[in-house]
Amino acid sequence: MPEVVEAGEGRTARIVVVDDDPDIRELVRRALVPEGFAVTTAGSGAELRAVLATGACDLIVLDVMLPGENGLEICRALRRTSSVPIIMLTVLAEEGDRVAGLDVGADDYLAKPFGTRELIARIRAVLRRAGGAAGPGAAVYRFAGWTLDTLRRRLTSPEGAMVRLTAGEYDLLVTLLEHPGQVLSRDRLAEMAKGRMAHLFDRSIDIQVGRLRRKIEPDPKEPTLIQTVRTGGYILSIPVEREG
Amino acid sequence: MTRLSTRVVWAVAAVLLLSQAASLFFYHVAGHDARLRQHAVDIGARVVAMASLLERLPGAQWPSVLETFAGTAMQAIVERIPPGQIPSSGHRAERLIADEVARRAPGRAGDNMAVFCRLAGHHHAAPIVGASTLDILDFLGLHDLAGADSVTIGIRIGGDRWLKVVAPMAGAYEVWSLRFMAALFVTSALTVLLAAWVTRRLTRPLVDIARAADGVGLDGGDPVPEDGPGEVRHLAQAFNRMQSRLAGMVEERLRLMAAIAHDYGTLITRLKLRAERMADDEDRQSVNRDLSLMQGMVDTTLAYLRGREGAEPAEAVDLATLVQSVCDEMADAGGAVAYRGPDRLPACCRPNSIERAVVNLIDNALKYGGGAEVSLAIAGNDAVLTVEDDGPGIPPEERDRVFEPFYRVEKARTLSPGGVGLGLSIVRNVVSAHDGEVRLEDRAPRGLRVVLTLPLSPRAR
Repeated sequence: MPEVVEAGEGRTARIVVVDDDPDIRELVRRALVPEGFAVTTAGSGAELRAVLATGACDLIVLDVMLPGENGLEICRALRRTSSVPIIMLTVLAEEGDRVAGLDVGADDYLAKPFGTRELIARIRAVLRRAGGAAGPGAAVYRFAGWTLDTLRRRLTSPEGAMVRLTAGEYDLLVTLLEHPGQVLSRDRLAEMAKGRMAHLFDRSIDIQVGRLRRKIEPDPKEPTLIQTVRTGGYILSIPVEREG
Repeated sequence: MTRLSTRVVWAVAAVLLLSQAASLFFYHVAGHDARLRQHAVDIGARVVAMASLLERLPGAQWPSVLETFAGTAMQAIVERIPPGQIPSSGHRAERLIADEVARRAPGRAGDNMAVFCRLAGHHHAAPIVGASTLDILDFLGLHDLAGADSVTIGIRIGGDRWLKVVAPMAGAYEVWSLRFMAALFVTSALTVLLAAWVTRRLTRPLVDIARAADGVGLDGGDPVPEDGPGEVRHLAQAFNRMQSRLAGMVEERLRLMAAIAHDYGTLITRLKLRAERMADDEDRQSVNRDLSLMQGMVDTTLAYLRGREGAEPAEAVDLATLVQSVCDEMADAGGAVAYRGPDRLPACCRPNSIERAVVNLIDNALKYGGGAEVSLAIAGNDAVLTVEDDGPGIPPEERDRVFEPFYRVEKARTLSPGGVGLGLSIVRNVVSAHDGEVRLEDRAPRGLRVVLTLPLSPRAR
């Protein structure tokens, strides 16, 4: 018996999957149902509106590349009347598509081809945020001159340059920023970072920390931002300002 | 290979030389001969007339008659010379004058007259016999060898008295005068220069077309200006039409690729979702491997098409973290990728394009070389990114072509699936969009080194 995912008010979360390819719709539906979601599918913007007219919905998975009215237009139109969470499916995980999706009001995006585990993790994260539960939301963190915009997944250095992080480094940094001044053990870090996203850590936490230090520490050999705790673990030892 | 203009100049010079030579020849043979005859008739007639006049007058009146020549080019005197053999220079004028004298007064010909042409620079080695050699030489004026060209005519006017007339050899060799030759040379040189200038002008559009033809790749080129003479303009128009047909074909091909890439994207998404339902772990993993190869091809194609559209804005980006992240991610995915360089390097660039270029280079290094050594350094105002492998390398003659879209080194076709022949084209497009440079080098002892030079900040244009 699968665990039932509850929406904010304690009922099964209802997901609408919008994609013009019937096979993909069916495959996604089959992947989501065992995870405890109630899934309806739609092949176009018109079908989506028909589905929405018949009942409430907790989250929409929306393909960008739809014939006729495309995903971005549908999303923009929906946002005028509704704040239902939307995850966009893009063809390329490029900045352009990503920003376009976020600009029209999507809550997250996922590049095709995607794995179901990744999709489920994103759906859960977005639902948690929408339900107001404690957890990572779209936020802007500022620390030691650095800025991290989680909506756009963008880290900016004190000099104003965009600093590229690997997925693992990003997850690690977000986890640390969510718990400033707290000692986090390696296991806990790994668990939390994994929970945030579906990225599996191919490398140990120590290696990820080492790489992150090279990118953000003024002197990676004498780290002042991410410090090692002798009992095992790491601590972000500087004040963090959070917006959003 | 000789240039067309050079050939035309040579041809013009040759024709000019030939025609000048011909006209000189005719001037010399025909013109000169006519003048020489006229001269001979003139001198012969005067000398005969004067000899007859002198014979009819008493000797006391001779000086006043001879003086009538004063002020003309001719000189006339009466001398006594001992009999002797008068030499001959063998010049045609001698024969012509003697003939004229014989025609007018047959009695004065033969031993009663002598004609001698004296030409400057000519050697008069004719034998002079008899006791009075010196007198004869004196009579002919041969002691004064520096004199001008002249003809001396002697006519016996009774006993041992001779009328001697010295006349200039008019116009004999003035063809070869310095002024004439200088004029000839100057006009010839001007003609050749004019020909050179005209042909240069005529052939310049051809040079432009050739240059444009060199610049045409599969990703287009600039049209050539359609001007110049008719034929050249036709050539330029035909060339431009061919170029636009070529560009049209490439566009068509790219549209097709875009359509295929999009459809493949859908299929790959389906297959990836289906693969997750496969029971056998090993099967699922190999299907996923194939799918990521296919996805790589689709991504490359779309990236290339996107790159042609341009559009990504440049922004402040830390280049070192970008390269490091790509290296780390590819190393995490199982590739032997090592990064050497600074931890941070702020620059101004288009991050997604640069990332795509770096991914493509490392991808190639992993595919053909089994590993990639990536290094980043600063040289002046440029960032220098080097990707090295120890694979088979690329032979020098193919190094330009590998940047063309769809071109693949022969071995690459069989070696690896998952390539569409666009990887290096994308790199080149990205680099040129950044005003940078890319070059391929040999790496010792084996392997390939790709060097990217990117300005750290956009250059003022």
